[in-house]
Amino acid sequence: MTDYQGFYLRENPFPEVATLDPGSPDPKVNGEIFCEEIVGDEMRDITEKMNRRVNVIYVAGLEFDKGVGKSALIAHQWRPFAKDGIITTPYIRCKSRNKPDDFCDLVVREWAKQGTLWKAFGRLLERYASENPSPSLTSEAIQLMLKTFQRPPETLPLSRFLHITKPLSLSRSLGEWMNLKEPRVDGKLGEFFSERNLTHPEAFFDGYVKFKFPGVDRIDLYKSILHVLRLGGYQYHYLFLDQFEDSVMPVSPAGIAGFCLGMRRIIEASQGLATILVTLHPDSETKLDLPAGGDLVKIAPVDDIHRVDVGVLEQAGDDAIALAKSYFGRYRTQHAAEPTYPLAADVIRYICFLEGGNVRRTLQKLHAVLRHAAEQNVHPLTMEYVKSNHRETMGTELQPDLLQRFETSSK
Amino acid sequence: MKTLEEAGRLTAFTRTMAKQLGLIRGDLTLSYEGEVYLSTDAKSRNRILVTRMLQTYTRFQEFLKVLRNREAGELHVPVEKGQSVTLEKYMGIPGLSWIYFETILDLATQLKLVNWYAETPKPRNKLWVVYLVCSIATKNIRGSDNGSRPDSVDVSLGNETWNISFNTPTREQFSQAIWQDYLELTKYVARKPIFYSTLRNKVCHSLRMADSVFDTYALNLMSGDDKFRLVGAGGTLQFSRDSASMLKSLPPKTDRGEYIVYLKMDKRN
Repeated sequence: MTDYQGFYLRENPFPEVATLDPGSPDPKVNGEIFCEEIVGDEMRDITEKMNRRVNVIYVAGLEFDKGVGKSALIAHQWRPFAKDGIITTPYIRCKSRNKPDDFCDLVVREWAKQGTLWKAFGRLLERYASENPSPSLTSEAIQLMLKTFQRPPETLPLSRFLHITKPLSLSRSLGEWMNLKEPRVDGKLGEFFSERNLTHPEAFFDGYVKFKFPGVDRIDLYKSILHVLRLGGYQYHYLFLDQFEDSVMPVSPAGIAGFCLGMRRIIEASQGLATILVTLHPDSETKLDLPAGGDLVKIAPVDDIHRVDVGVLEQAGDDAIALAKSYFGRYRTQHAAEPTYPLAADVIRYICFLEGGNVRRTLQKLHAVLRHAAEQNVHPLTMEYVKSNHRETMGTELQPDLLQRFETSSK
Repeated sequence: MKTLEEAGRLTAFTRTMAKQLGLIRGDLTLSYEGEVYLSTDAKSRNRILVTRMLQTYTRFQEFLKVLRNREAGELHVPVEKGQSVTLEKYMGIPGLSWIYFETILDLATQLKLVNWYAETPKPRNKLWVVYLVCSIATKNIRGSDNGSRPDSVDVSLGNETWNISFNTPTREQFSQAIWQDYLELTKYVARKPIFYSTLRNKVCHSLRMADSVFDTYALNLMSGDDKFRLVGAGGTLQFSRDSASMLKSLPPKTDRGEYIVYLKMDKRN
């Protein structure tokens, strides 16, 4: 185990594999460490588009297809935009075989996991009770029940709070009531939603993925759930489909029309209720631009209104230093005279230069260089040391012409 | 084994060609011209090869004459491989088979005399658009000898002398043309990715210049410009069935050895 204590660091602050995983507790990879200084323009752009509630926001890398920080940017936006009980921000990591139907289910799964569906149900039950007064269903009893179970319980002990012996009958009435209030909520879905929440709220999603009835597909169900949430007090949703490009790329040219039609239906269902944020790389952008992709790009064109471009680190500036500082700062055990100690600032700039400003590769190289410094007890690690030990620090032989270009550019 | 045989054949062809061009002697020693060729810079080497090719191969000369006499120095060659008669008739060059045509085209492209791209205006109607990227004037037509400019070469061909000037736009002309062509290809959406080779084909055709001229200007523009921002992006190379188109569509690589598959462009504020 490499020891970084001598550098006033708890551990190596840089990720060995810099891929984003918002569910991880490790701040190196869950997006918590974020350097706003280097993506100021992009953040302003994405925030402005989210505030305007543009139907689809494409987050694309300006250079490179991978590793420029698209996912980090949307994960950073994901946290502050959530407003408890009013705005939700489900975050989905798309996989290569996911289809629009799967996206719909995955979003509902997130809502179930976050307790959004349970909260919406509680509010609906209260509204229903106030409009349909009954001694067996009083607002006070419902409020007590919701206070007791702030998260969806595995099994709801309904009779402890309400004089309800037949939850199925109440579910049916609730379903009809929802349909009456909002005709876009299918009565059967409303009934199913109520029944699951009145009996086994925590396992809502297990039943939901199996729930089907003729003439209604997963996108229709997603649409109904959106309207259920609206009735339940949720005003808006930001759906984050990270790595969307991974789902687009395996779709065959013949299948792209079906894929885009599905996406179009999701966008139409989300009209006025949700903004969808997706990441794109040039290959997937080109694929969506095929004539068969018309269904999607005609209602949400990949243009300036819908797209946010994420650039690379400025190689001539101090972007890499700012990025490194934000990681070092998080892992310091005590104050260091230089914020990037033990790495000299020009070493960090050189790494960024060698990696063409690619954030992922810069972070990974910083990890490797710092590990080398700790293992060899080199501090501070300067450019002179890098030049003499290029293979050991950078992993490649020194290229004099590249080094000269770096030295010229940093003057 | 097959690769070794191919390498052997390639060496034999190269030897024959070098002899025919007068760069080596029969005993495989370097001729005076060969020595000059090896000791000079890339631009001069290109001029030597252009001169020798035109003086040695009549079909090569004929091919350029046909292009020169066409309106705008451009030919639309229908791709009907295996039907040499049609090609012979179309080009008006006796004995021009498809393999000769492709060889001449490749050599002329590398010598920066012509450029080309494949186009499919209608389904199953593929054609190659071939155009001159130099201007060819004959001295007797011009009436006076103005001497060679640095970007031109005089080639003596029996009764006449050809003055070949290689087209090189100014940086300003290039940046305006690339921006206009980029916008046309992206339907006026800035920063949209477009295949490097697609944009190169269009700009080279607009400015009648060689691919290598585009590559030089594009890399220069990418390294910094006051008016425009041009960036390259990685990705998957464009798939093409015929190897000629595939080789032609290969973009340059970055310092890190990655192909610049896409280009994106925008104006600077």
